Amino acid sequence: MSDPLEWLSERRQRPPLALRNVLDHPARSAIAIVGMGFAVVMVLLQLGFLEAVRVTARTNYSDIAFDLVLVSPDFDQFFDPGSFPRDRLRLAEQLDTVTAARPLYTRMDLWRCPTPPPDAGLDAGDPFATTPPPNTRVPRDRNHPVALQLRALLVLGVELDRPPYGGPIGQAIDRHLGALRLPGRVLFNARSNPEFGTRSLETFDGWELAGRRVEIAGTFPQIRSFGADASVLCDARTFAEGLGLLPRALRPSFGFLSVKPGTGPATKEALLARLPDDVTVLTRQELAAREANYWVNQTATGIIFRFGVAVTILVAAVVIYQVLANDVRNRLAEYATLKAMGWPNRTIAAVVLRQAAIYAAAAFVPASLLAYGLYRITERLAGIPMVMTPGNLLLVLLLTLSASLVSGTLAVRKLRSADPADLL
Amino acid sequence: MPRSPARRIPIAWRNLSEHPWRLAASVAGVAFAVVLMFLENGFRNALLDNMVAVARNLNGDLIVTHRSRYILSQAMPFPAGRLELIAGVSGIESVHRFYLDVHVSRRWRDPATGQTRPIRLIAFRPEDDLLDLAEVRAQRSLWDAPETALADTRSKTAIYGPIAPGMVSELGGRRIRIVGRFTLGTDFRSNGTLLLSERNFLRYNPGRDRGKPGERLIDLGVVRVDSDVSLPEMQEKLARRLPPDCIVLTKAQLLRKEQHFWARVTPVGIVFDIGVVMGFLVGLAVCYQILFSEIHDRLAQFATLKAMGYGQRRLLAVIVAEGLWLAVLGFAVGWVVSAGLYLLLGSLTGMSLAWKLDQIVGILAITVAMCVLAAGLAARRLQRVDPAELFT
Repeated sequence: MSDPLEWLSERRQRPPLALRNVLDHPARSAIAIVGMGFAVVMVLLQLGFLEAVRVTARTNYSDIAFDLVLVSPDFDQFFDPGSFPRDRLRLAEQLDTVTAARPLYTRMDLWRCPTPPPDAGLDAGDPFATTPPPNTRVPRDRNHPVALQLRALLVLGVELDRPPYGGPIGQAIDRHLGALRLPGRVLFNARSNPEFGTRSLETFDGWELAGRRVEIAGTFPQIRSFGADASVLCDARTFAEGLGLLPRALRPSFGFLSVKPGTGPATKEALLARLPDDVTVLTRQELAAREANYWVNQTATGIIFRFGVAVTILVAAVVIYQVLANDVRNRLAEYATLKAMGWPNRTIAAVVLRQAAIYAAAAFVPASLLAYGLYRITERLAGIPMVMTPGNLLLVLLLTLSASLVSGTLAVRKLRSADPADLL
Repeated sequence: MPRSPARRIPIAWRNLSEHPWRLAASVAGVAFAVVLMFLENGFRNALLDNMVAVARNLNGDLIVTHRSRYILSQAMPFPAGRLELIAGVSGIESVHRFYLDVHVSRRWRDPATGQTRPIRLIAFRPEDDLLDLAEVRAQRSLWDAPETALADTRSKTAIYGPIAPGMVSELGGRRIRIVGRFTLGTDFRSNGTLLLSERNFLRYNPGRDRGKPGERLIDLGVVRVDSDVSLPEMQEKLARRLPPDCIVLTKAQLLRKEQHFWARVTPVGIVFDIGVVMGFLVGLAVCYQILFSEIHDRLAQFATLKAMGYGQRRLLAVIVAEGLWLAVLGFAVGWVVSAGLYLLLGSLTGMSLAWKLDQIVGILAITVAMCVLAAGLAARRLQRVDPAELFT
C-alpha cells in the first residue's frame, strides 16, 4: 500500500466509469442530454407562466411601503377593491402608533388610444370614411380619419402631499410633482401595452381619459398585470374630475398605513376596535396572501397554468425515463461484462445513477439558459412578466435529479435478473 | 415479381407487440405528448369559446353595438332610441334591446358569508327570446316575475357561494330571488352570471333608466331580418340610418371581432401556442428515443432482412410503420386521458372545454407527423447496418 504506484494501480481498477461512459459515445450522450434538456425547458417555461401570475398579483403593491392597509370589507383583489369613506383615514391617524396614512384611489376607465381598433378591417367600406363621426379622433400624421380605439385602463389616484408610492414610481411622482398639481395632467405607465400609445408619447397629443382631454406629464414604470393592460397615475383632483366629483367626495380603495416599528399587531387590534365596520384592516402578508389566492387559485388563468405545470412535470418525468432506459439498454453489454467480472448489482446501479446525475447536471445548465431566452421571447410576444426565480430553478433541478435517479433505478432493474451470459 | 414476405408478415406490428409492457410504456410516452398538446390547445379554444359564449347564443341576425365597444365585456352602452331609427325599415322582422352588465357595479351577496361580489348580468324581455338556450326559454314565466333571476350553473361557488333555485339574497343591496338555473359559462373576465328580465334589470340598475324609453341605456340591439333579405345589404342599409356612434355587425362578424381581440391582444392566446409547440418537440424526442432503441435492439433482425434482400427503403418503411402504430395508439390513449382532464378542468374553472373536429384532426396530424419524423431520424441508424457484421 505504501508503494505509490501500487496505490495508483488500485485506483485504476475503479475508473470513473460513469464519466467515461458519458464521454465514450459523445453523440449518444448528447442525444440523452438534449432529451432531458427539453424536459427541463418545458417545466421551466410552465413554471414561468405560473410565476407570472404570482408576480402580477404582487406588482400593484410592490412600490408601496406599508405595514397595514385599510380596505372595504368587500375587498376581494386589487381590481375589485370596493371603497370606504375617506374620513376613516383620519380616524386611523389619530392612533399614536400610526405614523402615516396614505390613500390610493383606483378605478378602471376608458382611454383614447392613438391606434386604430384591432378590427379596423371590419370597417372597410365605412360610410363615414370621409366625414369623421363625432367620436373619431384623427391622428395628426394621416390624411384619412380613422376611428381611434377606446380601451379600458387602470387609473391610480394619489394625494400629492402623501403619495403611497416609493421606489421608481415614487421618484417619477417627485420628478413631475409640479406638473401633476395642474388639472388634467397624468403620468403614463411606460410599460403599458403598446396599443395604448407607449410609442406615440412624443407625436400624439389627443389623449383622453373618461372622455376628457388630459395631458401626459411624464411616465412611470409599473409591470403590466393580468388585470389591466395599461395604467395612468394622477392627482386625486384629476381623478375626481374624471368622475365628476369633488376631491373630498372621493372614497379611497386603499388606505396604506405605516406604524411604529413592532406595533403592527397591536395597532391592527386597536384599529379594528376603533373603526366602524365599513372598513377592515389587513397586514401586508394578509393582503399578499389574498391576492395570490385569488389570482392563482380562483381565476381561470391561474388554475390553467397550475394544471400546465402538473402535466408538464409528468411528461418531463416520462421523457427522462425514456432517455435513461434507452441509455441502459445501449450499454447492456458493458454492464453484463462488469457483472461477469464479479461487480455486484449495487455497484453497477451506482454507475448508472451517477451517469444519470451527470446527464441531469449537463442538461440543466444549457436548458436553463435556453429557457431564459424563451422567457424573454414570451415576455415580448405575450407581454407578461416572466421571471426565473432561484426557487423555481432549484425546484426544477431537484425534480430533474430525482426523476433521473428514480428512472435510473427502474431502468437498471432488468440488469438484476439478467444472466451475464445471456447479455453477451 | 415474387410476393414480398412483408405483405404477409406485419413486421412492424410484430416488433412492437413482442414485449407488451414495453409497448405500453412507449404508447404512454407518445400519449403524454398528445395530452400536453390537447390541453394547451384546449385552453386556447376554451379561452376563445367562452369569451364569445354570450355572442354565440344571441338569437338574432344583425347586432347593433356602440362603435367603441371593442369587446362585449367592456361596458359601452348607447341610448335605446337609436334602435327606433331602424325599427321601421322594410325587411326587418323585429329589433330588440339587450343588456349585458359587465361593469362590476352590481354585487351579489353570498347569504352564507355576507360577502358581496360583482356578478355579470344579462337582461332582455323574456318574450323577446334573445338567448338561444332551452332552459332560459322553458323558465320564461318564472324569471318574468318581479325581483327574480336565473343563475348560471357554472358560476364559481368559491366566489359567490352556491347559488341555488329558491334562494333569496341581495343584488346591489336589493332583495332578489333565484327562481331557476341555466348554463352559459364563465370566462376570463367574469366569474358568474345572473339572467334578469328587462324590468327587473332596470330596477337594479336605475342609472340605465333615464325616464324616457328612448334614452334608456342599452348594450346591444338584436335585429331579426326577414328570411328573404340579404344580410350584407340590410347591414349597409341600417348603418346608413344609424348615427356614427353605432355600428351594425352580423353575428359572424361579432364573433370574429371578439375572438380576434382575445387571440391577438391578450397574452394568454400566445402562451398556449407556445405550449403546443413544446408538446410537439417533447413528443418528437420521446418517439425518437423509442424507435432508436427499437432499431438498436433488433439490429440483428434488420441485418438479416437486409441480407435477405430488403432494400433501405423497405427497412425504412418498417420503422415508419412502427412510428404510425405509435402515433395512432398514443393518440387514442392521449385522447381518452385528455377527455377526462377536460371534464376535470371544466368543473374547476367553470369554463367549458369543447371538442372541435378541426382540433382533433389537427392534433392527430401533428402526432403522425411527429412520429414519422422521429422514425425518419431514427432510421438513419439502419444505413450503417452491414449484414456481414452479423455473421462474424
